[in-house]
Amino acid sequence: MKHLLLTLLFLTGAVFTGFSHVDPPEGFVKGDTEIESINAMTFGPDGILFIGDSKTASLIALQTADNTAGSFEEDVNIKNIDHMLAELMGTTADKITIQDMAVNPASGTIYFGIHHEDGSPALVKMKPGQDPEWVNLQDAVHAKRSINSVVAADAEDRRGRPLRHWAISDMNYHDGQVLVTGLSNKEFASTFRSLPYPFNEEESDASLEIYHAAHGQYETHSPVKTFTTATIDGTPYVVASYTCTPLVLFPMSDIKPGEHVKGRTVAELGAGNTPLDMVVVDSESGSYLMMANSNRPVMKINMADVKGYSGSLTEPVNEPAATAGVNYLNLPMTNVLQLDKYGETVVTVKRQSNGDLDLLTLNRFWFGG
Amino acid sequence: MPLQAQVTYDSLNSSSKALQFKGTNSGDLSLHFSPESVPVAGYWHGNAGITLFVPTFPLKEGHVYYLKKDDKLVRRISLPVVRHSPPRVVRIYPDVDTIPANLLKIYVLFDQPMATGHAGDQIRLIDLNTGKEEPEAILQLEQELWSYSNDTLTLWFDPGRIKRDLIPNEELGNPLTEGKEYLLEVYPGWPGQNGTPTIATTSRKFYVTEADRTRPSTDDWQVTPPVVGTTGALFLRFPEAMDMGAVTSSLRLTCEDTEVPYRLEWLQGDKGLLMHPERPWQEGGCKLHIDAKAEDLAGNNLNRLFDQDVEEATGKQEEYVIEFEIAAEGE
Repeated sequence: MKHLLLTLLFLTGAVFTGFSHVDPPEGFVKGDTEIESINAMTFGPDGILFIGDSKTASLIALQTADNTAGSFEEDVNIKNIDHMLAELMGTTADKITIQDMAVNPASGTIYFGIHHEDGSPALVKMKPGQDPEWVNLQDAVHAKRSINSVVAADAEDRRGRPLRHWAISDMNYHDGQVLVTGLSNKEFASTFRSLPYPFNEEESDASLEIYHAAHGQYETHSPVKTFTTATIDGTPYVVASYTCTPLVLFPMSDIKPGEHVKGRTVAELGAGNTPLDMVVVDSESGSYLMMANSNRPVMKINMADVKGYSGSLTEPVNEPAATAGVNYLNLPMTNVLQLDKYGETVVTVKRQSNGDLDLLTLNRFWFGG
Repeated sequence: MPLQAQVTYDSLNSSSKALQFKGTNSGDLSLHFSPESVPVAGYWHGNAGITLFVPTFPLKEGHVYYLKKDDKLVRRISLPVVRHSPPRVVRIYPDVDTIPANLLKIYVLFDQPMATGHAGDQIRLIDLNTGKEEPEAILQLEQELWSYSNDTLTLWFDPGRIKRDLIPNEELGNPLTEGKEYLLEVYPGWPGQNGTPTIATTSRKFYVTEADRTRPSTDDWQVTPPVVGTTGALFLRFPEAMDMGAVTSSLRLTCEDTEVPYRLEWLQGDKGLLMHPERPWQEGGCKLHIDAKAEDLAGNNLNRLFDQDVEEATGKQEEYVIEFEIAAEGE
């Protein structure tokens, strides 16, 4: 039956397309993206949505053609966002998981990467104030490339599938580079890659080993959990948080193929907590790093403090669950699972105390707006 | 001709479930989860009087869907409930009773593809000396480390607690304590990809011995060559239990400089494995290539310890090789 269905599908062509017709950029094709999972998403230039697919170890650049400038004046507040997305997908909320959320910085359209419990991926977009719409990934203008040659060269099982278990943990775009971090079961180490965009297979990727100072020793074997990019005094930096909670800063200019980059630890955010997501928001009152955590509220860090903190933590922090380094503010928002920049504030996916999963815009008050 | 609806299933892949309609065209049809909800996402195909709707996500068994034509309700479609066999845990690695205090990974193998996002709720580590759970022993990851086929899950003990001198290690201590017994429990209710949950509790008891801070060496590995002309297994033995995932993905076998495809079978105790060839062994010189990333149970690989002091020397080789001969019969 599967073959019959697929044959019919190709004979008749798909009925819905998620995007309007715009000339595809060079190197893009229109057709099936063959995405098998959506693990991380981020927006690049001109409405390009980058999707990280752990299952196929590939990076997909999707032309959304979603370039209409948004006002970002209307807050987005939707109760039970998971129920709304599940209904669109014809099932119940307990059958789906929201893998990642990305807001188009131009239009304000919110994109959700979701999985069914059977592993099927789907992309859904939602314009503020409108119903969610499904994006057809079988008929989309896109470009694709492998995330790294190491995975491709791994040992394979008898069906030709990689034996390595691989998971993309975060992804960001900055000035012609897609930065991808992930972890695999082969080695507990920082896997941080920089891939040039537009995609060019001949141009080599930068594969980094990122060090961060830990008590005078170098701690290399720890993956970056979540990261973002920020510009301080005109210099672009990567701000990364590790599984072991230090917040580390290193200049983008250090990202070169084969280089071993040592980051500067600017904060220790305490044990017993895992960073989940982070983003830098620029508002009239300043530039702020917003970080969601597993066991702590959303933290707000003024980037001016990061800039002013010229040291690098090298001494142990001995008090239980203590923190050190730059100051931060705990916002009264807990259980935030996803966040992304929405104009001059952030939109969040938050688990409420009654179990509901809501989409909420953070009060602009916190950014001085 | 009345509109007829028929549900078609592919028993191999639930995601290819489709609804089939006869006697209409696809143009104005839409399927809804509830009477007032937005149309369900999926692909509509029409051909020779037959219309197919292939949903992006599997439709929910036992649910009543609403079919609309020109935005008017034309019929209710009740999906049958299909009985699936519940998934079960078939093996837990390390497959040993005694583990080092700095054990790094656990692998849980299921007999079928599993739903993701449940590991945090379904797995517990119990300290048998106190009867209490060790709540922060296992690292929680939003992107769980599943194999491609979603039947093998990799779990990490919190590396921040294992690595000496890191803040989590100083504050919370090592996740496992030498001399104690622990019980790893996998609870029932873990759904498979077909929606049916596990019904049995699977558990494994471990006794914790001292931390392993010795690099494994392939000099201590023993290869028992197979017999030429047979498909008997090559036997590889280690002096200590090794990490199943890291070693499996680090091995490569060549004979007379040609890649030899094989199937791996780990032996109980994780101190040895069998490499079953696809074709009978040929006479000649063979090489077992081992990537330096092969690890023991504590995450120590062939080049460095898991929490290696930076002042200490590390190995530089990317690969280690064990050479052996497959001799002609009678030699």
